[in-house]
Amino acid sequence: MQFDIAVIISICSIVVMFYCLWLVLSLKSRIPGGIVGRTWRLLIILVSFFTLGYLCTPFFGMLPAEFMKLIVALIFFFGAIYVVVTVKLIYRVIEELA
Amino acid sequence: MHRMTVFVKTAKGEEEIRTRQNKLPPAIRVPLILVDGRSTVEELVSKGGEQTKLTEALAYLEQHGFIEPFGTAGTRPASISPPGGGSPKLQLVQLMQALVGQGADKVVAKLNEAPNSRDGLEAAVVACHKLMRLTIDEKKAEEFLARAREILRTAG
Repeated sequence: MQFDIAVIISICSIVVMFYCLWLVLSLKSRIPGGIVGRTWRLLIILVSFFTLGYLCTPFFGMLPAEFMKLIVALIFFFGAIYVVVTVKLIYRVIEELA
Repeated sequence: MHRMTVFVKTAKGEEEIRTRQNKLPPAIRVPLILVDGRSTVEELVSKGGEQTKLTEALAYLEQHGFIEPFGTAGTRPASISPPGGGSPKLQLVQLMQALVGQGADKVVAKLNEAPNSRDGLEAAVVACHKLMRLTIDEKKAEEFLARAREILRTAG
Protein backbone atom coordinates (compact mmCIF):
# COMPACT_ATOMS: atom_id res chain seq x y z
CA MET A 1 0.00 0.00 0.00
CA GLN A 2 1.44 3.36 -1.10
CA PHE A 3 1.20 6.24 1.37
CA ASP A 4 -0.04 9.03 -0.88
CA ILE A 5 -2.31 11.94 -0.01
CA ALA A 6 -5.46 9.89 -0.73
CA VAL A 7 -4.47 7.21 1.78
CA ILE A 8 -3.69 9.83 4.42
CA ILE A 9 -7.10 11.47 3.89
CA SER A 10 -8.75 8.02 4.04
CA ILE A 11 -7.05 7.28 7.37
CA CYS A 12 -8.18 10.66 8.72
CA SER A 13 -11.73 9.86 7.56
CA ILE A 14 -11.61 6.51 9.36
CA VAL A 15 -10.46 8.20 12.58
CA VAL A 16 -13.28 10.76 12.31
CA MET A 17 -15.80 8.00 11.59
CA PHE A 18 -14.67 6.00 14.63
CA TYR A 19 -15.10 9.15 16.71
CA CYS A 20 -18.61 9.50 15.25
CA LEU A 21 -19.36 5.85 16.10
CA TRP A 22 -18.16 6.38 19.68
CA LEU A 23 -20.29 9.53 19.87
CA VAL A 24 -23.55 7.91 18.71
CA LEU A 25 -23.00 4.90 20.98
CA SER A 26 -22.10 6.89 24.08
CA LEU A 27 -24.99 9.33 23.63
CA LYS A 28 -27.51 6.51 23.23
CA SER A 29 -27.93 6.03 26.99
CA ARG A 30 -28.90 9.68 27.32
CA ILE A 31 -31.63 9.35 24.70
CA PRO A 32 -33.53 6.23 25.79
CA GLY A 33 -36.56 6.74 23.58
CA GLY A 34 -38.96 9.25 22.13
CA ILE A 35 -38.69 10.73 18.66
CA VAL A 36 -34.92 11.26 18.82
CA GLY A 37 -34.26 7.94 20.57
CA ARG A 38 -36.04 5.98 17.82
CA THR A 39 -34.10 7.71 15.03
CA TRP A 40 -30.87 7.38 16.99
CA ARG A 41 -30.98 3.60 16.64
CA LEU A 42 -31.11 3.99 12.85
CA LEU A 43 -28.22 6.46 12.96
CA ILE A 44 -26.14 3.94 14.94
CA ILE A 45 -26.73 1.30 12.26
CA LEU A 46 -25.84 3.72 9.47
CA VAL A 47 -22.69 4.99 11.21
CA SER A 48 -21.63 1.36 11.77
CA PHE A 49 -22.06 0.69 8.03
CA PHE A 50 -20.04 3.80 7.21
CA THR A 51 -17.26 2.78 9.56
CA LEU A 52 -17.00 -0.58 7.85
CA GLY A 53 -17.09 1.03 4.40
CA TYR A 54 -14.50 3.65 5.32
CA LEU A 55 -12.21 0.92 6.67
CA CYS A 56 -12.00 -0.47 3.12
CA THR A 57 -10.93 2.80 1.50
CA PRO A 58 -7.13 2.55 2.16
CA PHE A 59 -7.22 -0.84 0.41
CA PHE A 60 -9.09 0.36 -2.66
CA GLY A 61 -5.98 -0.04 -4.82
CA MET A 62 -5.87 -3.76 -3.99
CA LEU A 63 -9.54 -4.44 -4.66
CA PRO A 64 -11.03 -5.53 -7.97
CA ALA A 65 -12.48 -2.54 -9.84
CA GLU A 66 -16.05 -3.91 -9.78
CA PHE A 67 -15.98 -4.53 -6.02
CA MET A 68 -14.54 -1.07 -5.43
CA LYS A 69 -17.33 0.51 -7.48
CA LEU A 70 -19.89 -1.43 -5.47
CA ILE A 71 -18.45 -0.21 -2.17
CA VAL A 72 -18.40 3.41 -3.35
CA ALA A 73 -21.99 3.08 -4.59
CA LEU A 74 -23.08 1.61 -1.25
CA ILE A 75 -21.35 4.39 0.70
CA PHE A 76 -23.11 6.98 -1.48
CA PHE A 77 -26.46 5.21 -1.09
CA PHE A 78 -26.32 4.93 2.69
CA GLY A 79 -24.87 8.43 2.82
CA ALA A 80 -27.98 9.72 1.07
CA ILE A 81 -30.22 7.82 3.51
CA TYR A 82 -28.21 9.22 6.42
CA VAL A 83 -28.72 12.77 5.16
CA VAL A 84 -32.47 12.23 4.71
CA VAL A 85 -32.82 10.73 8.22
CA THR A 86 -30.81 13.56 9.78
CA VAL A 87 -32.70 16.32 7.95
CA LYS A 88 -36.06 14.77 8.90
CA LEU A 89 -34.94 14.43 12.53
CA ILE A 90 -33.85 18.06 12.68
CA TYR A 91 -37.18 19.10 11.19
CA ARG A 92 -39.13 16.98 13.75
CA VAL A 93 -37.13 18.50 16.61
CA ILE A 94 -37.82 22.01 15.30
CA GLU A 95 -41.52 21.14 14.94
CA GLU A 96 -41.67 19.82 18.51
CA LEU A 97 -39.92 22.84 19.93
CA ALA A 98 -41.87 25.39 17.87
CA MET B 1 -30.55 2.27 58.10
CA HIS B 2 -34.18 1.59 59.04
CA ARG B 3 -36.30 0.72 56.04
CA MET B 4 -39.19 2.87 57.31
CA THR B 5 -37.05 6.02 57.69
CA VAL B 6 -38.25 9.00 55.71
CA PHE B 7 -35.61 11.40 54.42
CA VAL B 8 -35.99 15.00 53.39
CA LYS B 9 -33.66 17.16 51.31
CA THR B 10 -31.75 19.81 53.24
CA ALA B 11 -31.14 23.29 51.82
CA LYS B 12 -27.79 21.98 50.59
CA GLY B 13 -29.58 19.09 48.86
CA GLU B 14 -32.09 21.44 47.18
CA GLU B 15 -29.21 23.65 46.09
CA GLU B 16 -27.37 20.65 44.65
CA ILE B 17 -30.43 19.68 42.59
CA ARG B 18 -30.53 23.17 41.09
CA THR B 19 -26.82 23.82 40.54
CA ARG B 20 -25.03 20.42 40.40
CA GLN B 21 -22.11 22.23 42.02
CA ASN B 22 -20.83 19.09 43.81
CA LYS B 23 -20.89 17.07 40.58
CA LEU B 24 -22.45 14.05 42.26
CA PRO B 25 -22.31 10.87 40.16
CA PRO B 26 -25.69 9.60 38.89
CA ALA B 27 -25.66 6.75 41.46
CA ILE B 28 -25.79 9.41 44.20
CA ARG B 29 -27.73 12.14 42.41
CA VAL B 30 -30.69 9.96 41.46
CA PRO B 31 -31.40 8.92 45.09
CA LEU B 32 -31.11 12.61 46.05
CA ILE B 33 -33.75 13.45 43.46
CA LEU B 34 -35.95 10.60 44.69
CA VAL B 35 -35.88 11.83 48.30
CA ASP B 36 -39.16 13.68 48.68
CA GLY B 37 -39.90 13.90 52.41
CA ARG B 38 -42.68 11.33 52.06
CA SER B 39 -41.27 8.08 50.79
CA THR B 40 -39.68 5.61 53.18
CA VAL B 41 -36.34 4.00 52.39
CA GLU B 42 -38.29 0.90 51.38
CA GLU B 43 -40.41 2.92 48.94
CA LEU B 44 -37.31 4.64 47.54
CA VAL B 45 -35.75 1.23 46.90
CA SER B 46 -38.83 0.22 44.93
CA LYS B 47 -38.48 3.40 42.82
CA GLY B 48 -34.73 3.52 42.57
CA GLY B 49 -33.48 -0.03 42.11
CA GLU B 50 -30.96 -2.10 44.03
CA GLN B 51 -31.30 -1.86 47.81
CA THR B 52 -27.61 -2.00 48.78
CA LYS B 53 -26.57 0.70 46.32
CA LEU B 54 -29.49 2.92 47.25
CA THR B 55 -28.94 2.66 51.00
CA GLU B 56 -25.23 3.34 50.48
CA ALA B 57 -26.12 6.40 48.43
CA LEU B 58 -28.58 7.60 51.09
CA ALA B 59 -25.95 7.09 53.78
CA TYR B 60 -23.50 9.15 51.74
CA LEU B 61 -26.07 11.90 51.18
CA GLU B 62 -26.94 12.02 54.87
CA GLN B 63 -23.29 12.02 55.90
CA HIS B 64 -22.56 14.94 53.58
CA GLY B 65 -25.59 16.95 54.63
CA PHE B 66 -27.67 16.67 51.45
CA ILE B 67 -30.53 14.90 53.23
CA GLU B 68 -31.67 14.38 56.80
CA PRO B 69 -34.07 11.97 58.48
CA PHE B 70 -37.57 13.37 58.65
CA GLY B 71 -38.97 10.57 60.81
CA THR B 72 -40.33 7.13 60.15
CA ALA B 73 -43.55 6.24 58.42
CA GLY B 74 -45.07 5.11 61.70
CA THR B 75 -43.89 7.98 63.87
CA ARG B 76 -44.14 10.96 61.54
CA PRO B 77 -46.89 13.27 62.77
CA ALA B 78 -49.66 13.45 60.21
CA SER B 79 -50.05 17.19 60.69
CA ILE B 80 -46.52 17.97 59.59
CA SER B 81 -46.23 18.45 55.85
CA PRO B 82 -43.02 17.64 54.08
CA PRO B 83 -41.04 20.59 52.70
CA GLY B 84 -43.04 22.02 49.85
CA GLY B 85 -46.10 20.75 51.74
CA GLY B 86 -47.28 18.66 48.82
CA SER B 87 -46.95 21.79 46.72
CA PRO B 88 -47.85 21.55 43.03
CA LYS B 89 -44.14 21.50 42.18
CA LEU B 90 -43.50 18.57 44.53
CA GLN B 91 -46.50 16.72 43.10
CA LEU B 92 -45.21 17.32 39.59
CA VAL B 93 -41.75 16.02 40.53
CA GLN B 94 -43.31 12.91 42.11
CA LEU B 95 -45.47 12.37 39.05
CA MET B 96 -42.43 12.62 36.81
CA GLN B 97 -40.43 10.21 38.96
CA ALA B 98 -43.31 7.75 39.02
CA LEU B 99 -43.69 7.87 35.24
CA VAL B 100 -40.06 7.91 34.17
CA GLY B 101 -38.12 6.47 37.12
CA GLN B 102 -34.34 6.70 36.98
CA GLY B 103 -34.20 8.52 33.65
CA ALA B 104 -36.13 11.44 35.12
CA ASP B 105 -33.01 13.32 36.20
CA LYS B 106 -33.01 15.96 33.48
CA VAL B 107 -36.74 16.62 33.44
CA VAL B 108 -36.97 16.69 37.24
CA ALA B 109 -34.19 19.29 37.25
CA LYS B 110 -36.28 21.37 34.85
CA LEU B 111 -39.23 21.19 37.24
CA ASN B 112 -37.07 22.00 40.25
CA GLU B 113 -35.60 25.04 38.51
CA ALA B 114 -39.05 26.40 37.63
CA PRO B 115 -40.47 29.31 39.60
CA ASN B 116 -43.28 28.37 41.98
CA SER B 117 -45.81 30.60 40.21
CA ARG B 118 -48.57 28.96 38.22
CA ASP B 119 -47.25 30.41 34.95
CA GLY B 120 -43.73 29.25 35.78
CA LEU B 121 -44.88 25.71 36.53
CA GLU B 122 -47.10 25.62 33.46
CA ALA B 123 -44.12 26.63 31.29
CA ALA B 124 -41.92 23.99 32.96
CA VAL B 125 -44.59 21.32 32.39
CA VAL B 126 -44.78 22.21 28.69
CA ALA B 127 -40.96 22.17 28.41
CA CYS B 128 -40.79 18.79 30.18
CA HIS B 129 -43.50 17.43 27.92
CA LYS B 130 -41.47 18.41 24.85
CA LEU B 131 -38.27 16.98 26.26
CA MET B 132 -40.05 13.73 27.16
CA ARG B 133 -41.56 13.42 23.68
CA LEU B 134 -38.17 13.94 22.09
CA THR B 135 -35.93 11.83 24.30
CA ILE B 136 -37.93 9.55 26.62
CA ASP B 137 -41.31 8.28 25.52
CA GLU B 138 -44.16 9.91 23.62
CA LYS B 139 -46.96 8.06 25.48
CA LYS B 140 -45.50 8.87 28.88
CA ALA B 141 -45.13 12.47 27.76
CA GLU B 142 -48.84 12.70 26.95
CA GLU B 143 -49.76 11.06 30.25
CA PHE B 144 -47.50 13.46 32.13
CA LEU B 145 -49.03 16.49 30.40
CA ALA B 146 -52.60 15.41 31.16
CA ARG B 147 -51.90 14.58 34.82
CA ALA B 148 -49.70 17.64 35.35
CA ARG B 149 -52.46 19.91 34.05
CA GLU B 150 -54.84 18.20 36.45
CA ILE B 151 -52.46 18.92 39.33
CA LEU B 152 -52.12 22.57 38.30
CA ARG B 153 -55.88 22.93 37.89
CA THR B 154 -56.69 21.48 41.34
CA ALA B 155 -53.96 23.64 42.85
CA GLY B 156 -55.82 26.65 41.46
